[in-house]
Amino acid sequence: MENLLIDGTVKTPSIILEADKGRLEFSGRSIPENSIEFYKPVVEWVDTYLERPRDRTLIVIKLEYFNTSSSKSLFEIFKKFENIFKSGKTVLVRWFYEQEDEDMQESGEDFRDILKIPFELILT
Amino acid sequence: MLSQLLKYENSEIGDMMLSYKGNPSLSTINLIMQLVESKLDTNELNPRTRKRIIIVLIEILQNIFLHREEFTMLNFNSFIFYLFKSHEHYIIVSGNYIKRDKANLLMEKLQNFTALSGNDLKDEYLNKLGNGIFTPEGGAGLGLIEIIRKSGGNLQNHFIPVDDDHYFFLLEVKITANSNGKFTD
Repeated sequence: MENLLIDGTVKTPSIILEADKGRLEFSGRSIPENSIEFYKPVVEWVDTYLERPRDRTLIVIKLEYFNTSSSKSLFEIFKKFENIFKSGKTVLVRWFYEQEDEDMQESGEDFRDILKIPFELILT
Repeated sequence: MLSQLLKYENSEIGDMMLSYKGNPSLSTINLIMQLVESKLDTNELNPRTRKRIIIVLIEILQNIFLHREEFTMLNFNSFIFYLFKSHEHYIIVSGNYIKRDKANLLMEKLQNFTALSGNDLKDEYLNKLGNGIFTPEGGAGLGLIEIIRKSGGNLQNHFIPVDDDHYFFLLEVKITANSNGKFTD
């Protein structure tokens, strides 16, 4: 399976999806007007990856900020990993936030509260 | 309607940092975001306050863009935007036309969400994040809740009747400078 790399812009995040390493990373800003369209290739990549996932999958989030429609898209992506976690694969989300960035900390806590996969909040 | 806009035109609520009147096109909202960010980089030292203003701003502008109405009146602009700085707050003001049926829904949502405590508002947000679906316009139905959460509920709204089918919707959101703006319930 091919890896997928998407360069970041002022409104969209840099995304690195590595099937061989079982590693997904999102960094920068995510404020597209149409997040469904922007995240469509990511969702498709994840669907293919989940057909034959690695034993361990790490999702790294280093976002500066994001809009609420991106938050919904990210939730849909995270949610897809619940099934493989239930079936015994290792899945971990590492959500990084900066000192005193209560907004990103709060957003991470929101996701952690409603997702059924291990979710670590990491102060950088 | 004009009397309610005069307090903004006359900068009665603070020092005007930015003013725009025109149409809510994609290039317009992008430009406003860039200008606000640039002004905050120069004028606001607290990164937390800067980020909170940007988060609220994005939701306000993208809501207006997603729900924009192709409607203008003679001698009046279809979209207005102001950013003010008072002693304690940054104040974001937006105004746009909205059809009566959408206005009624929005009024109801604003009434319901602003009546909630901080914890209940968080529960509502999580419920929509976890169980909601994208709207036909591509929104997540979370923007309004996010604006209320991030401003600590510090907002005012006016629906000014324009004709039988339209209102002009004015929204004034205050972000406390150098504070987390959280609810204190």
